Amino acid sequence: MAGFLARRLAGMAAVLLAISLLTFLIFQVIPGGDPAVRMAGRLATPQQVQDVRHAWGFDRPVYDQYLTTMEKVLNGSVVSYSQQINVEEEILRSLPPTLSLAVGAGVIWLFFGVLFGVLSAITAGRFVDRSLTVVALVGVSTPAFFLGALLLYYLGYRLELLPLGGYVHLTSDPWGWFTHMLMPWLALSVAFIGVYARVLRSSVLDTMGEDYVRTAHAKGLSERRVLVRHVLRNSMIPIVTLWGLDFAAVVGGGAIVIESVFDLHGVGQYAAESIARLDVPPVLVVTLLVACAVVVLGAVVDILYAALDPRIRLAR
Amino acid sequence: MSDASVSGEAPRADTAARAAELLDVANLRVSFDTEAGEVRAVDGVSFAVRRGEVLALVGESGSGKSTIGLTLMGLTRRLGARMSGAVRLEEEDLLGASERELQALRGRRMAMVFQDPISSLNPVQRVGWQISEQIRAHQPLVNGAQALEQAVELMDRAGIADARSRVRAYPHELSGGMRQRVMIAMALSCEPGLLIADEPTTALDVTTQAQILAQLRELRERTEMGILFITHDLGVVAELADRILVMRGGQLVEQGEADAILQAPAHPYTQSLLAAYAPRPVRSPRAWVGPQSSITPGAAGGSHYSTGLGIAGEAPLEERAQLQGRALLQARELSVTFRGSRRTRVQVLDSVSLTLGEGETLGVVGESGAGKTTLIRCLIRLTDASSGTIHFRGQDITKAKGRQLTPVRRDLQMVFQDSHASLNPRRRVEWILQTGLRLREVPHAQWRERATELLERVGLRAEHLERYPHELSGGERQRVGIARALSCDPRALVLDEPVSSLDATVRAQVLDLLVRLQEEGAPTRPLSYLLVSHDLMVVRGVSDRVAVMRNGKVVEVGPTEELFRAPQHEYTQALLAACLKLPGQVRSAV
Repeated sequence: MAGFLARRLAGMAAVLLAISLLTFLIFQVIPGGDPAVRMAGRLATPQQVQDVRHAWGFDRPVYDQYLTTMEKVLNGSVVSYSQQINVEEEILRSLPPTLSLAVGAGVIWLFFGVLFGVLSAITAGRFVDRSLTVVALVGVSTPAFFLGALLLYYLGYRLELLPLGGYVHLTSDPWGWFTHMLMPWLALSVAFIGVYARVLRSSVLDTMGEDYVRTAHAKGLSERRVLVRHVLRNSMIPIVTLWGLDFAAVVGGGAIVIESVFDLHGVGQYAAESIARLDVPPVLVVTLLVACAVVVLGAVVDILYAALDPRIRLAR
Repeated sequence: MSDASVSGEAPRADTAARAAELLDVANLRVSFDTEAGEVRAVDGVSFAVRRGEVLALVGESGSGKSTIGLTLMGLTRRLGARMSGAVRLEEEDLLGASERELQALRGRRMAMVFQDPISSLNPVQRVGWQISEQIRAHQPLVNGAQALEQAVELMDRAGIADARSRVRAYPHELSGGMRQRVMIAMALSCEPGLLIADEPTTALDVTTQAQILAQLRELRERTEMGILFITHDLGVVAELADRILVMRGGQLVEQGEADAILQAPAHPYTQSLLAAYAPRPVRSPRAWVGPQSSITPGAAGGSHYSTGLGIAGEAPLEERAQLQGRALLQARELSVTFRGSRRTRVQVLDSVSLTLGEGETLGVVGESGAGKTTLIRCLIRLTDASSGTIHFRGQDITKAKGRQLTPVRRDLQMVFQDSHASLNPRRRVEWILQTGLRLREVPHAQWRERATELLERVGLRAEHLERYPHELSGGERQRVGIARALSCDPRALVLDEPVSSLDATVRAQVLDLLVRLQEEGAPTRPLSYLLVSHDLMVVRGVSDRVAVMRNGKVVEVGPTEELFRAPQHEYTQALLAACLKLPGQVRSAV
């Protein structure tokens, strides 16, 4: 276990180095990427632009700029070009809504994905299965912004059941937090539920054809017991992988659309605004955050794997 | 057709006989709806199993014997089978029972042991838990700890040493034999009246097989249990059965006392089954006699390998005399170690020295885990040797890489055990055969002609060119596998368990084919075989010399005849003892 964690941490360092270099270089080469011009303002003279460039070190070699930026990132003093406020403080402020969104939606889509997947598998080919297939397809193909807008209009505006977006802190007002998060959770989960239900359905059907499931029936176990104790645990393995990756993506700001539609001021929204301003430091830090989340959740998934399937060993 | 010949056991026997009957099957029909229409798997079968007897249900694959076992357990329903007739287990009507009633009977009154102990146990649950689960399903008053205690006892009785710690093992931590013992312990956990065993020893090594059979024999003696033993292996039948039913195409063709049927089979099909099983005559060494007589590596210290380019003792033909003594493939002191868990090292091959002569057939026998597969992989350079050397036609190929290996690979062709898995399912036979021709840079215009020739050499016809692998029978597929290997015009075929997934009659045909191919090629282009098998009988019939492997070592090598007549190593003796019992019996019958 210790060896496994050590290897994963080393891997994470390598990933972070590669990602940060790549992100930094992309902004060096894209057209209109010169931050000095934008920072100096629209009416600035060439001299003023030159001054800004010199003051921020944009005239120094690229590797030098990269090293300076990374040093600031690591000691938490990096500031954004456009507003010149501390990036890490901004991200810390936007993390609670994003984490609330990811955790709540993650639980919802996992629960309903598994529920519908199993229901669909045990009624395979019959009415329930076919209806669920159609529902899943509609869910997967409905764009999240459209679904979000529908929810806002009907539940928020017409029926006035739920607040029209925004974020309330869990600690200050738990009920308010819940009502504010409910619609974003639903809007984000629907597509995932559809995908997970389909994946689990085929996984369960595969497992039901296994010899050891036949053995379980031959032992005289009830249908329910065969399903829960012999089929489900073996079918959950692909779901665990999917969930780890999807959850990591949402934590890293992957739910940009949902965050914007419901105005949550989360990490994704912050990243989207920063990209629009070609503001390198925030984009860099958010990207590193996503990479961290993916690597950490990848390790968590591997540990869960080993717990689900004793044939898999962590140290490899 | 079957009804007349099986009337002796018909359901309307007198009441006294019926009292002794545990299971009574009358005119059972089972059919499945497929895209190709209705398929009758079982077509009007009647028989009975008495208390305390072993009834063997014998037939080749596709004869419907496994369907009967599953139907008795009520497990074909979920596969959408249509059933008619009557099946009674004592007073219970099995065909008419509801799913819930069947649940109560399964595992408690009747239990089943399946063929493959690797896939039949849940890989993610501990074996003790899997046994105790069945106990608790049928005995609600037993708590978890008590059930686990019973599981320990059952495993102990099933011959699992150190059962108390093994209950906590996962299936993959046990050997195949151990897993089958777990399956048996599980089946016996609720003391069922009827045990259905579907090929329970087919996936096991001969020595393990003998132990499991001994256990079933002991069980029959100790309890009143009736055993329905489903198998294609007449050797096993002779060991165990009181009575035999022979099935073909879903129907019973013959039934009676075991001794009577094995000694004097009445039906031609039964006769052909027995004939196919009879051992082939031992082959005497021909072109090549390798290292003289049997050697026991390790015994003679460092120089236990003689380069062995010796002169053949007897070489009747002139052409053969010219080929004599030329080594095609030579392994010297070959060792392979893999890194295991927690920095341990597993030695899979331990200083193996072997020579395959030109035109020779060298049989390699050993149980699973003996290192046979690693040896092959090493010789064809798929696995790197940790130490030792490999010479191919005098050239050192131990460290050869990439392009250097191309001619070697072309000359050493593999034929695999599972022809179903090793032929591309989406390509026609013609394409499969042409890959080798392309390698040899045969002009495109000749491909079809050459492919047809290849098929004819292995006893197939031009029409097979258009087929996909799934449209061929197991025997035809293996022939295509051999033809594919021959398409490269190799000097040697490496045959990895080439017939072990085939039925007895087909197996004999394929072995005959191999012998014929070698004889045809002998004068101009000698073809060597490296034949790897766990089955001594297969190796015996076609090999010039045999090497016996155990735990990564070659424990004995020698000319086939000599080795079978006077095995030197005690392990070879044990192997022979474990499998020779029955063919002797059968041979006297045929």
